Amino acid sequence: MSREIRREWPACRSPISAHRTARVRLVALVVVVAPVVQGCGLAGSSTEFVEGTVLLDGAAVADATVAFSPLDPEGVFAYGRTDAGGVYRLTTSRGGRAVGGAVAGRYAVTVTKTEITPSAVASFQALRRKDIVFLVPDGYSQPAASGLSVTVRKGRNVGPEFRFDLKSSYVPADLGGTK
Amino acid sequence: MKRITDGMTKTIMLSEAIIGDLSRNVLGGVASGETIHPTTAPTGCLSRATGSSLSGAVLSTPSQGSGHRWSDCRDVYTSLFTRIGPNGVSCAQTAEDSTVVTPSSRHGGGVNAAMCDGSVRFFTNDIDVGNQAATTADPWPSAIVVYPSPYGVWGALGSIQGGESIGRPE
Repeated sequence: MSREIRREWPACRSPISAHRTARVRLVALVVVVAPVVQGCGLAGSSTEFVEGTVLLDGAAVADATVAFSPLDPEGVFAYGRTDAGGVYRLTTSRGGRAVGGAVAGRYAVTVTKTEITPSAVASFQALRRKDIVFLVPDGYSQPAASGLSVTVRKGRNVGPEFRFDLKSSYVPADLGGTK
Repeated sequence: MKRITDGMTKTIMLSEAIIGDLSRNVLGGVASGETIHPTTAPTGCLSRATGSSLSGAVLSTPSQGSGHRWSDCRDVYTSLFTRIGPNGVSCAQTAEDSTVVTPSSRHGGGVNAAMCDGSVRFFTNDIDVGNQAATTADPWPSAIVVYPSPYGVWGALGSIQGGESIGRPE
């Protein structure tokens, strides 16, 4: 049913010089020869399939971004976009490549769907927050304010906790000074 | 230059970027209709890429792309951003203004960038990009953003006064 991709990506992080790059390419070659060797950091952790639904006042929300912001120090962000039925499927970035799923762990979840006011589009001025029209309440777009959190576990994550029943009346206690 | 307190060797001045081709390809095309603002996370733009293709609307008016109109200061023509990792997706709000142009190249694996001290370094696609689901405070009305970038080593390399530590250049 899904194009689920689970692949171990063996590259280490952030080689930022030509010398380091050459070294990492060598490491990659070795890993191709001996795939049992695990890479460092997040390369060692697999991704888990995550699929859910976004509803606003009970109706499916299309074309919204669902972002998973890790609450664990070693966690990795993941993201998805809802289809016409409000269904999202998560993607994670690993070694600069997009792979299906999310790493197991705890996440704060945000849902963002926005437009720009026509006057702001026409003005060609620097965009201000007041120029953003939040089609899903803006409180849901901030990790510290959305009030949404969920745990991704090993295996398929398709349960009711991955269905987000949002309310257009939602006003968080604290928007973190982003207004 | 004295305002670049993060250091000349640790701040990117310019980089490679593929000439925009108005395509639906992640490399060369620009997804439009995205809100580009510090208070919205890069994940919105990232989610516009499906494999190597872009979903939804893309910039399609002739010349709307990186490297066209090279004497024009608008973002889409001559700017670059270390918000999304090397060779990742580029996104625009509307036609020209507020575009996140992501450094890109066709030689695979990363991009060359020149630092403010004049040295050139190769940054690989797997450079640390931090938490791309993070949002930052609205800088309005400040002209220069002085808080650290939440977007990892890559984000830190693009800020001039973020105060981040990106390690010693090797």
